[in-house]
Amino acid sequence: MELGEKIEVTLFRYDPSTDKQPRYETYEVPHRSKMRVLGALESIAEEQGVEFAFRYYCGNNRCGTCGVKVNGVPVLACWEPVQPRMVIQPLDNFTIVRDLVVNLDELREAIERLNPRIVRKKAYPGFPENITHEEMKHVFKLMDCIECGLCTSACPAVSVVGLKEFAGPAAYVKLAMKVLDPRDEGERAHQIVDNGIFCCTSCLRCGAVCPQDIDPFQDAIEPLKRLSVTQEVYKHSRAYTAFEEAIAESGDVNPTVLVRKIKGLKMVTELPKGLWMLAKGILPIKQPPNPGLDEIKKTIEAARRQE
Amino acid sequence: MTIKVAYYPGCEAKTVNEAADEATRKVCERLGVELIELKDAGCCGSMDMRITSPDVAQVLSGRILALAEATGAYKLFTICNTCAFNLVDAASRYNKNEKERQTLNRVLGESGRAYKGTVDVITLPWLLIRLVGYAAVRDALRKNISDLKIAPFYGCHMTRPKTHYGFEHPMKPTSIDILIREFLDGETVDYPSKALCCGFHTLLTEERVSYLSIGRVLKNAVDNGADCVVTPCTQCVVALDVYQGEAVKEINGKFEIPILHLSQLVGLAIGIPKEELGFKKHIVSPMKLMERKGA
Repeated sequence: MELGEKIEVTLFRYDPSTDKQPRYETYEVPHRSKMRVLGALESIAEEQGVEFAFRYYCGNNRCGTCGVKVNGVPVLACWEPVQPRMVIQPLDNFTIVRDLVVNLDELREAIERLNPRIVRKKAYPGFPENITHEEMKHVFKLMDCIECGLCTSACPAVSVVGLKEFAGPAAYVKLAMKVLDPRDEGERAHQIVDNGIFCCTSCLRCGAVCPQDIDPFQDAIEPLKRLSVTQEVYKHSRAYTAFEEAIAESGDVNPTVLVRKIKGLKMVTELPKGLWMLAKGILPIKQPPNPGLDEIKKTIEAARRQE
Repeated sequence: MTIKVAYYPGCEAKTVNEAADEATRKVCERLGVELIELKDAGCCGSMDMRITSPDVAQVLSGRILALAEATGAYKLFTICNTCAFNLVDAASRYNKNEKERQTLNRVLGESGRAYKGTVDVITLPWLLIRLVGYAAVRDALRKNISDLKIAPFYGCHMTRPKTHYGFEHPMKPTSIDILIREFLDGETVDYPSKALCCGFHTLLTEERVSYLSIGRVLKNAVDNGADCVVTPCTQCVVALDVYQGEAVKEINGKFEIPILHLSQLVGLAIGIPKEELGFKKHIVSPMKLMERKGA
């Protein structure tokens, strides 16, 4: 974009205490050098004298208070370059306070529920503690989290079940930071499961929006799910172990075999669906054996020895 | 010139979603893409083995990369997004890092295999846009599909994680829209759920989350006037089609909408008879829609 060129900004306006429903207002602002979304909002508020609610503090991708949605994607207003046409809305999955401001206390509450503090059983050994870089390497990246809530706002599982049922990716980043810390001795599996981690559908949207390049799914949620499944605290842990078992036995995973492994006799409840699938010719009852099966078995054994 | 790619259909395409496999083979044959199927390949471990044994799972994906490399094709093509993710994840680990590759090769060496780190993983939109290309697809067009209002559904693991791909925006993908509109002269509907999740990976554990996810995507597509949903991923097809009844019930809806794998739509547009595209192997049959629209 050329300097001075007009940027079209459409703002979401809504005050829940007086408005029946949200409305949109469109403004034009001149493009400036290195302009960010926050600059455009400031220009509307300060130069055009429009009164509307938006929030910021540090202006340099550290405080995490200025999250908004720009053309449908959650971003930090202070760090996101402007686009020629922008629809700016409040973050999803949180209650709207007014206009672009959402109630981030809901995020803090979700984090608090997980009690992300180091829990010790043994006495504190004194400072500095005997920890290595190797032991801390998974934790360091998570420490970059600025609690802006963009990941939680982008989470499709939170949006269908709500923050009460699933604490969301940000809260699990904060928890993983402690659980993966070698000093933590807390027993976390129940807490992890009870706050809904298995509602996560593995969509990876959280990592796509993180302004600190954390991948909450791979860096926090996967290790925590692993912990709950290996300790068999999650009631459906069998679904995970059965999957690996199926591969080790037949190389491929046949959904019919998998469901039988997981549900056992309860599989009868799936009968109507099974018959319907059979009628449509999509129920895989028997699959030809995988020609690579012997080698797959050998590879799995060899890989397990390496672990 | 024939394009040669190593072909890894994935478990769903070998079982519940055979239709996608059939259609992909026909489409590739018609467009001059030679598929070298990796018959010895097994499951990539999906999202489940990443939890139970992440290192073993990566080795399984590494083995698939090695099988692909041995064909001499250097591109590994899959029609399942999650397979693509696991394979691309393994490739990002083994292609760049020699130490990791040595660890992999110690395991693969026991079966006399090795991986040199040369394989690129591609999905169907990538194959059609980048390898086959606009001109060749246009030359092959035989049928007008512009009567169909199509809702493209991207699924998750074809565009995310952002560090592993680079083909398109991880939150606002456009490849399938471009394919349908520009390559196939079809009509797409815009709807907000197209880069959300189909909920496949919680179907056997947290059903409600899956049903609500499926229901939201489908309702959103229907509300925006779509006749059908098209996705490049076999797992998305299974979630959106096979579990559609449960999902629509969960959201108290009353509608049904056919779900096509992208290969089936492309096949239709390039004039492959419907009988050869697996159109009968759906829970929500697309046949009525096709008859109504004369496609």
